Amino acid sequence: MSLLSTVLNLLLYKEPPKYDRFELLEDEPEDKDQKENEDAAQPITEIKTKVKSRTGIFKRTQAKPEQEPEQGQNRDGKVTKKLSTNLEIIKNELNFPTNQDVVIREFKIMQKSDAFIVYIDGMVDKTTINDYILRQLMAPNPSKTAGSGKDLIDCLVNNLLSVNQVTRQTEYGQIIKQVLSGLTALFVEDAGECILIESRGFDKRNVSNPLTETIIKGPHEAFIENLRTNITLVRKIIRNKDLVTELLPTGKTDNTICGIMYIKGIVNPKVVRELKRRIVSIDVDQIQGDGTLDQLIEDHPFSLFPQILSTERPDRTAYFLMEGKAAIICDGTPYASVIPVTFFDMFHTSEDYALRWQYGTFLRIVRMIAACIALFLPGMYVALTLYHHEMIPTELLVSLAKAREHLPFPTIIEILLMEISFELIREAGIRVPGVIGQTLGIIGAIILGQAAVTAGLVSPVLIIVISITGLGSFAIPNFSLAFGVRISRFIFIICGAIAGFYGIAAGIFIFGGLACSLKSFGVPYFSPVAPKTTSGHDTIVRMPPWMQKTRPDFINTSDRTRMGKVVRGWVARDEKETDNDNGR
Amino acid sequence: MRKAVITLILILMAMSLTSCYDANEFDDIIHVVAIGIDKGVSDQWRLTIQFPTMKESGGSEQSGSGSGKSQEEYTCVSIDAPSFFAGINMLNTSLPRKLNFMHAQIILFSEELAESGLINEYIAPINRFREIRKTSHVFVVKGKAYDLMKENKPFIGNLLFKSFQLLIKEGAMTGYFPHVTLENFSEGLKSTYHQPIAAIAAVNNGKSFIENGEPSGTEFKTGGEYSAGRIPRTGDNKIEIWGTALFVRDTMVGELDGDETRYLLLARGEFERGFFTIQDPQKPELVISLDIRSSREPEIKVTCDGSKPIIRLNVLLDGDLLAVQSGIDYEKPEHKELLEQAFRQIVKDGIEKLINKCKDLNTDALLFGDYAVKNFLTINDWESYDWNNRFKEADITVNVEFAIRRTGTQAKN
Repeated sequence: MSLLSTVLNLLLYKEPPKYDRFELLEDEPEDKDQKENEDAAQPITEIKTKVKSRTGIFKRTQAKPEQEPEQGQNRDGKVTKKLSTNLEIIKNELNFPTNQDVVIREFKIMQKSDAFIVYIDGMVDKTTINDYILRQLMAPNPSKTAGSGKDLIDCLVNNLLSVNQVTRQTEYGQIIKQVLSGLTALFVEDAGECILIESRGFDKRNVSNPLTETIIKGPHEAFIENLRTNITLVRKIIRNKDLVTELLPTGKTDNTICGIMYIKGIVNPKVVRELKRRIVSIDVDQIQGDGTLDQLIEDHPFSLFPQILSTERPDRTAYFLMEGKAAIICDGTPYASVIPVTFFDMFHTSEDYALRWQYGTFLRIVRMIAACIALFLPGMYVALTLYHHEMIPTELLVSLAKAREHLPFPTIIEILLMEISFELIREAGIRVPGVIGQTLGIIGAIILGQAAVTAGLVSPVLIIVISITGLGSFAIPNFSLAFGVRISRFIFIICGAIAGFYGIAAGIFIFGGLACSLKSFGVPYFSPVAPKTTSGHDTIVRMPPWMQKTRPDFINTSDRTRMGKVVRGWVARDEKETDNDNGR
Repeated sequence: MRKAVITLILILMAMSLTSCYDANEFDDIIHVVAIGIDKGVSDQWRLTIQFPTMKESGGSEQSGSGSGKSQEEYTCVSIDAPSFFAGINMLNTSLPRKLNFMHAQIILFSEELAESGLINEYIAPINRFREIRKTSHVFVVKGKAYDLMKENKPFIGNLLFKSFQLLIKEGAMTGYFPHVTLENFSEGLKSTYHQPIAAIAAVNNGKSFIENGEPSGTEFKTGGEYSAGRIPRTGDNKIEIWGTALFVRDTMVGELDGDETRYLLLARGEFERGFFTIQDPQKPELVISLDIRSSREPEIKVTCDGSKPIIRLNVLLDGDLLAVQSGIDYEKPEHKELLEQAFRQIVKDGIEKLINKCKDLNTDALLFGDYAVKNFLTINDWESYDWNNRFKEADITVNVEFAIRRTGTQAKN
């Protein structure tokens, strides 16, 4: 009985459960929009405090809460007036002296007031600390009559510390976090607050060439692991006051900072608000780069299609920002994630825009064909050989049949064998240490294929099929989508083996249905094709730049147009004629 | 978890329902190339099928030893059976693989079968059989289909499919035999508009090629007046396709030689191109070769008002001058006109002779009925008119338009 009810439960139609899902709908009237705009630009501190009160950094980071030194004094996490208390708290929080990275230096300001600085060794620039903090503070300075407490702090900030960025902070949570990120904290006797001095100076990689998104024409800069540098790389391209960078804390234990970049006035504020809502709500110990973050904030975690685009190119990020999208850059990862994206964005590269539009369009069509080949060719081959002999030209059929004559395995085993060994070679090629890894992999593939044919394990045609499929999957510019295609390929092989072309057609139908139901931050995945909207001439066919007057409709940007009425002023014709001109 | 397991079971059950039962590997199947049908001796049918043996061909693979003689790549089997399908099953008891007719390209009927009016009985099962393509080619064989198929070997290259496809394609470039598919043929069997035709295939045993003898006289021959199997040639390829078999319904009533076939195709609008050889109008002992193309579809007008149908046929041809043995300047307008006139007359005579032959045999192989039907409003009217029997009374006027477009250039000495 219970089995029956379970089966019925599976088969019968049930109303899908209603839950609130974010959708990016057409904008409401202008005044409300304005309000949302302000919403989006609300000071980040508010959100930060919200997070803290919700999760509590101390609870998580502190190993032994019962060891709190003076009860009641730091319950609220504020800096106390007594220097020795502060020192105790800091030592406790940073596990001093067990943690040998932490450096605490006690000294007397102007040979009078007690003070200490705390920093993490290796994260800071020693010159800054020696020359601009300690030397300034410890020098006797008779001309300045320094008081004590608040007055002294004012005096230090205003007159003595010749460092570019100095902030005052009373919250221990913030202080610890900033110290961990490379700042130096200065505590003064009787002050009740602390001065955070910018002194970051850790080792980082130089900006270098992109590794996965190499192009021929266009800039050759890629992101690196440093958040600040990455943000600067983008800001260098978009020199606009409305380019906003918001920093949000994400990992609750590793205190990873992630930056959200968008252009105020172009981006839809609802998207930014939704993005912030999702990031803020995350409660995990560690964010390993933006790959983890993407998985935590994407709409459909169980889909094979990537719903967030990851790029290592600042120029591409800038292009997306100008289009009205938002970018997330995590500290410690050389990639930016862009939202919202559509399926067709995955086939674009920044080269498309650098090239003339005919060439760019050609490249995109080649990539689309490559994706189709990578997805369907092995499945089609299985379907043809098992079910549809009448579709093969007779000459080919005879040579195929002759080749198959002494092969021991059925076609499906053959193709799975080769597909799996191809994936093996590919994976092994990446894991082999050294630059020769890739070359070795490809040579291995050829030799393995050749040997498999001579040994009578697989037919030569199959090797061709597998190699073309491999080429096709390499030509997909988006790494995540290429993975999706590689996995889906096996599903299509099975579909083809079970029911021939009918099976493949059914597979396409199911995949299409699933893909069309996806949304990336409220934007339907297959827009502007399904649902049909205007796309600003940049889906598969890229029209000449002066015809791409509007931003894509489906992103619902605050500012729809990206060009003036007459784009090319030198063409002495009115706007209407320019529209019809198809370039010559 | 339970849900997942049940879903998995359901999917597996659904899969087992389909269970790939239609799936066949290449090497599970014999792909039949040609089907030959004769009257049987022990039973009604003598079914002959030809298929590749799937043995490695000598040259293409790296066999290394370089065996001089390649093995037989195609083989034939014959069986006497009560029906086509019984024959297939009976054959499969001795053949280790499943017979498949998807790639059968040629269907051969023996002349004996065709003349006895049994084609319909024999073609009906083939027509209904799903595996046989409607685009396969139908031939009537002089003699026995069985004998011809024994001689059917790849002559150039080692693919029989290719040889036949190219041979048939070549037919369009010569006009010596029509291009008839199973679909055309069976449609003709049922049609009230016209009668079916088929190309004739024959074995040429080389007897017409007399190696040593009296040299030919000055008598003019066009080259097209031989009948199938009698062309004076010799060589390895014994099979030739030549001429047309004429039918009245399912009975073969006559045969056209090469020239007559060309005129037939001209009137049907199926002629594409061919080299014609004619006597030089000014020096009859020498010949002129022309490259003839049909410039447009022939214009055919049929009126069925009076007691007998009146048909006007206008054939439009273009030509190039290929060779002039006499060296007369046919480039000059006055000479060119003379040549054009002569060729028009030859074609006109040829078509008229062909029409008379068709009238005598009472078969509208020239597709005039397709134009005549336009005069009738309802199918009943048309069927009661009984075109196929009225054709022989038709009054047919033939007109040929011909112009030499390119005379070719020759440096004057």
